[in-house]
This record gives sequence, structure tokens and C-alpha cells, in this order.
Amino acid sequence: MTEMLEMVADTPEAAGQPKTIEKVCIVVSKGSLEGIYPGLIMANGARMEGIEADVFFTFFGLDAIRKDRNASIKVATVGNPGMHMPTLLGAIPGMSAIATKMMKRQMEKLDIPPIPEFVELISDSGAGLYACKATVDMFGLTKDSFVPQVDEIITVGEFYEKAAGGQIIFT
Amino acid sequence: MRDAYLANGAAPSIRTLGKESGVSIKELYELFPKGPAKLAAKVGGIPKPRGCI
Repeated sequence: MTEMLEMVADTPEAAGQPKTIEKVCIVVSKGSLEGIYPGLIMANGARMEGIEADVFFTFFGLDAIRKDRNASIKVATVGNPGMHMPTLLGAIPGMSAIATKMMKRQMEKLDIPPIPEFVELISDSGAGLYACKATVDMFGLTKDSFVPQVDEIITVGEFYEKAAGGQIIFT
Repeated sequence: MRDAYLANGAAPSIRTLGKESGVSIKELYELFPKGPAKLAAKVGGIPKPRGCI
């Protein structure tokens, strides 16, 4: 599920804003392969177009920037109607690993980098990477739990401050 | 850029650009904050990269 919350006035021109998007803030809230990639692709795509981008990781989205987990993100094979297979089949041990392996092979062909490299690429492109303070506290993590590219652990309020003047995209 | 376009039929992605130009992706973005791959394609006179990555 991807929805977009527009933070602009009724008509951009009336508010004196340019017609093009100048800045996006992307919230990644899910920890599955198909939950993380869209956010990362959108952030990278924004930077490629010269749009300023910040990525905010919250709840299981934090797995994307956790040192110990971001290399082993899996496709959700249970509770995912998009897989077009019975849920009980998806629950068989190893099913998620197989689906992930197949998807990763396809991604390699398309020149889509693995998550750790992708996070590095996005950070190198000048986008900000932030972890949600509430979740970090809840899971008992520290800044050391994350890859070095993560800029800061911030609160929701600080996130909104950073998002000022841009569009917020929740994935 | 042109060679890659003529060889592959598409402009190289920023990932390829970083790997093959010898300049890191970080430096590329510092030099061209408005999108290095897009600008390079423009200078090279080829269509901008079509990939999502």
C-alpha cells in the first residue's frame, strides 16, 4: 500500500510554489523486500531527477538500515495475495527464501542493487537517512545498530520539520 | 556515455556511471546535485536514462 499525502496548498501556483516537485520525504514502514524496495527506488529516482530526498525508516522498515538484518530481507509469502498461492503453501519453511532468491536473481538482471548497496547509493546521492526514535526505543536499539550511512535518530516532530516545503510519501 | 548508449541502446544508470567512470557516486552528486546521470546524457546528446535505478 502506497499512499501520498500532499502538503501543498490548493493550487501550487497560488501558493507561489514551482510546478515541479522540489523535495520529497519518504517513510518506509515495512520490513519485507516488497515493502522496502519501493521506498528506496523512489528516493533514488528523486535524487536522479535532482529532487531533494529524505528517507525516514519506522517500525519494521528499520530492518533496511540495520547492520545485522539488511542483508537478509525476505519476500513475504504469507498474507500476501500478490503471491497468488495459498497462504498455507507460503508458510512452508524455506518458501520465503526461495521466493526471495528468485526475485533477487531477477533484480540483478535489471541492475537493481541489493539493499545494503542501495542504502549506500542513496546516502551517497545526498539524501538524508533517518531512523524513527519511537521505534528505536521500542526495539531497544542504538545508533550502533544501524549502518554508518544513517544520519540521525529523529522524532516525528523533527521529521515534519525536515519535511517542510516538500511532499510526504508513506510506503 | 555515448559509447555505452550506442552499445546498449540506453544511457548508463547512475550505478554504472559510478562504477565505470572512476568517480564515486558521492562525488558525482556533489559536483552535479541536480542529477549527474541526466546531465551527462544531456551533454552527451543522448536520451536521459530510462531505468528506475
